[in-house]
Amino acid sequence: MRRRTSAATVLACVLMVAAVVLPFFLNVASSFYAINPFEKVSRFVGFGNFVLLASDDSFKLAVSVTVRYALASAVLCALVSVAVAALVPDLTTLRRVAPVLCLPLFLPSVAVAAAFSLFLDSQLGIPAIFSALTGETYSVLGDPERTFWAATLLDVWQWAGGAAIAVAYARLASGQALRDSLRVAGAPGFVVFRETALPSTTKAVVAVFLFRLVWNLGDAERINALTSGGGPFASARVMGIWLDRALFDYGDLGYTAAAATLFYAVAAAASAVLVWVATHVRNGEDRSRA
Amino acid sequence: MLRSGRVVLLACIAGLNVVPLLLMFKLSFGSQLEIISPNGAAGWLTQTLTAENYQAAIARIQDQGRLIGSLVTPLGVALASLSLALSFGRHIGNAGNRARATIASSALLARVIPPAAICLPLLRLFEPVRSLPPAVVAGLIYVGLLLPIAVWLCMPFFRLSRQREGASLVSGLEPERHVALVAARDHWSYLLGVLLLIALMVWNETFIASLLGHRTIAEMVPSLITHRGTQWGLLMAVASLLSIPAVVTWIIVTSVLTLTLRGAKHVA
Repeated sequence: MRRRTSAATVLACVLMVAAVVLPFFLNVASSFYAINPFEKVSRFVGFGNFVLLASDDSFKLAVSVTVRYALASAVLCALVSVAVAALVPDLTTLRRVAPVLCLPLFLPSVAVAAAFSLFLDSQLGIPAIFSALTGETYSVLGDPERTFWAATLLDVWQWAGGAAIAVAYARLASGQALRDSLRVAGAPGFVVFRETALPSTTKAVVAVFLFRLVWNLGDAERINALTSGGGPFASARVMGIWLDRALFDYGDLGYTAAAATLFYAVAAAASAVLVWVATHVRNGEDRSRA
Repeated sequence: MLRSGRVVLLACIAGLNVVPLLLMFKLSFGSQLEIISPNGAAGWLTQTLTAENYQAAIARIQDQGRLIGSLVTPLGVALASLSLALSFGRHIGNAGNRARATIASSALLARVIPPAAICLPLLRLFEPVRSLPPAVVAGLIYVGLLLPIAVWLCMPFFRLSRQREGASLVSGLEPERHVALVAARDHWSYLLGVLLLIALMVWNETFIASLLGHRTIAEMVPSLITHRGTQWGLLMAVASLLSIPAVVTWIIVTSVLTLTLRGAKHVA
C-alpha cells in the first residue's frame, strides 16, 4: 500500500512539473532560435526574438490591452462586489442568495460569450432596440472601445457575484462577539462598523482585487469567443489570444516562445506575490490571535 | 423599509444573473428567421418554439465525433486528478506553510499561463507526444494543470481528515487507509463537489482542445460565430447543451457547500 501511494505521489509530481514547469524551460530554450515548425528548420538568433518583440506593435498592443483589461476588470469587480455585499443585511439572506449570485461562475465562458454576442449584436440584439428608439445606430461589438468594455463588463458579470459572497461573508461573519458587546455598550453604528466589519471587509476587497488582477492576465477564452479573436483593430486582443494566433501569424515558434517566456515569467511572479501576500496576511492574523 | 428595499435590490441583481441564461435557453428554441427578423430583440420573447436547433446541434456533434471526447475526458481527468491529489495532497497537508503556498501559487499559475505557451513547445519538441491521440495528450496536460488546483481544493478535506486521524491511528489504521476509507467516507459529498468542479473545468475548456485537435462541444462554439453569417439558433442550442452540465454541477455544488457550511457551523 505504501509503495503504491509513493508511486502515485511521484506520478503526480511528474505530471505537475511536465504541465506547469517544463513548458517554461522549453519556451526559454526555443526563444533563442528562429524555428519554422512547418518546415522543421531552426536557426540560432540569440536574443534576436526579444529585440524584435520590443519593436512589435501588435505585441505591445496585446500587452497594453491585457494590462488595461486586468486592471479595469479587477477594479470594477471589487467595486461591484462591495456594492452588492452592502445590500446583504444578514447571514441568513446571504445563504439564500449565494447560490444565485455564484451561478455565472459555473457557466462555460464560451457559452456565455456566444449568448452575449447575440445580445450585443447591433442589428439583432439589445442595441437594435436603442437604435429604433433614438434613430441612431448603436454598435457595441463593431466599435473598438466598446468591444473592450463589453469584454470587461462580461467578465465582471461572471465574477462579481462570487466576489460579493466573499466580501459579504467577511463583513457579516467576522467579529460577531465584539459587535454584540459594542452594541450592548451603546456604541454608535459607525464605530461598530469601523471596529468589526471594516478590517475584514477591507482585506476581502483587497483579496478580490488582487485575485482578479492576476487571474485576468490569462483570461482569453471568453474574450476570444465574444469578439471573434480580439475585436476590431485588435482592441480586445489580450496576450492569451495573441499567443494563440502568433504561430500562424508569424510562422516562427521561436518568436512565439520568446513572448510566452516573458508572459510566463510575469504570470509566475504575479502568482507568487499574490500567494505570498495572502500567506503573510494570514500569518499576521494568526500571530495577533495568539 | 430600508431593509426590504435592499432585499428587493438584491433580488433584482440575482435576477440579472439568471436572465441571460434563461434568454439563451429560450432563443435555442427559436428559428433562425425569427431571431434575425426586423423586430430584433423585441420579438425574441414571442417567437414560436421549435426543436430543430437541438436536432441540428446533436447531429453536428455526433457527425464530428465530439460527444465521447466531451464526456469521457472530463470524467477521466477529474477521477485521475482527484485520486492523485488525495495521494499527493496528504503529504502537503502535513507539510508547512511554504509547501501549501507553493501549491496555491502553482494552482493559480496553472490557470493564468496561456494554453499556447504550454502546448506548442510540448508538441514541437516531443515527437512521441504528437503520435499519441489528441484526447490522451489533452487528458495528460489537463491532469498536470488541474492537479495543483485539485490539491488546493482538497485542503479543507485534509484538515477535516487530520482531525480524525488520531482516532484511526489508535485503532491501528494506516494513514493512507484512513484517507481512503474513513475520511473519504465521511466527507464524500465534499469530494464529489471537487470532482464535479474539476470535470466542469475540463468540460468548459476550449483553447487546449483546439490547439491539440481534441474535438469537444465547447471547442465547437467559437467556430460557429463567423463573419459570413451565424446560425444563431444553432449556436444558442450548442451553448445551452454546453451549459446543462454546468447548471447541474452548480445545483450539486451549492447544495454540498450549504451542507458543509451548516456542518462547519454545527461543529463550531
